[in-house]
Amino acid sequence: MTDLSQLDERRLAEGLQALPQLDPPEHVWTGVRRHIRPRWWIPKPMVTSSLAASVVVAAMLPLLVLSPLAESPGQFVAEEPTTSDPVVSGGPVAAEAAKENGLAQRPLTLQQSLESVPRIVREEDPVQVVLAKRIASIDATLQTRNELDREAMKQLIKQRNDMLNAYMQVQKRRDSNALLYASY
Amino acid sequence: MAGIHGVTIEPELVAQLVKGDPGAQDLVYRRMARPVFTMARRVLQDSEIAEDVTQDTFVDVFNKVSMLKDPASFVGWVRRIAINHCLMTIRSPWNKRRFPLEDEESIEGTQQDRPDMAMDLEAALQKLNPRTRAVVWLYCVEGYTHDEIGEMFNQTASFSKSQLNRALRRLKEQSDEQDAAEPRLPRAVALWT
Repeated sequence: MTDLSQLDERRLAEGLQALPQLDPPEHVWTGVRRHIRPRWWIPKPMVTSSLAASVVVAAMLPLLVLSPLAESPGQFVAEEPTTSDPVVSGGPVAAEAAKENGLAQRPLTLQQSLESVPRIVREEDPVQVVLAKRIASIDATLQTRNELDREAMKQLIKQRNDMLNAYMQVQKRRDSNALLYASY
Repeated sequence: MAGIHGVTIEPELVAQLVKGDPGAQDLVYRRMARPVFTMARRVLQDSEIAEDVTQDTFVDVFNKVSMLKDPASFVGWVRRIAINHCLMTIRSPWNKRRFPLEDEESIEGTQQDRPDMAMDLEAALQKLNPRTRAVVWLYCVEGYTHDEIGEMFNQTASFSKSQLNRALRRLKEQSDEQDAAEPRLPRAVALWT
């Protein structure tokens, strides 16, 4: 029995240590296993070197390069439909307006092109979300620097820089794409 | 109940972890998940967030154990990763919107929502600001010094001491308020049996 009004550091510590431990639900362990990087097929140097970071960036390159190509005006011209009676969404008024603006031949391809742009450009960007989470995770590890050797620290910092650069590249693409869409 | 530092993990088990042995991962998780989850749950006062912190902690541990310099310091390393995830959650803009760090009154106000509940330490903890709660837990349960806690928060040791004193003061005030609200209850309140 203890009186809270007479609480001191020692009593508080004893009280906290006497609280029961809590079990995490089983799905936490399931989630951990799902996210553990499988090691058996990754060569050891890839696991510990900055090559791993390079592979991540290389894997994202197609996304970074293709997304602006898919929406470039040049591609709209190349894909212009041959139909003589283009369909314009928005009814006759919109069709007339489109015709006046010289867009009568484009609506279908424009729509198709917009749909072909990966979701990452138009909405919340999952690549950035993943990168931000990994950067935060590296930061958490770096804060345990006393436990890490010098080489591991250097590799982590390099990985972090690579991911930050990739993040900024995606952001840059998104900004320029937003400007491009605004011009339509 | 001991904190995370009370767990023992043998260096041989850490060596198995480095090799990616699923059995070793399972064993380490079974030994360490309870104290990690307990700390996260007590500090953050939210089961779902504590589950996320526990999951992120072990994912980091298993993916980065090969970078650990000294296998003997494994438990301390895991504890530090878990604490960092808790602190990142407390510092996150989303959490700050839920519990403005400087606005303790808004949290203390919840006491009136549960007038019939006997005051215990767990309920009292819940009424503290998350940052104060973290300092209390790290000092009283995990055994960190004020200097170490100050460093974790990018502050000085004085910050940790003042947060602890503030927590003690608040807990005593809550006890007084509880007595005033329910005069028929005995003044002495059981923290634990």
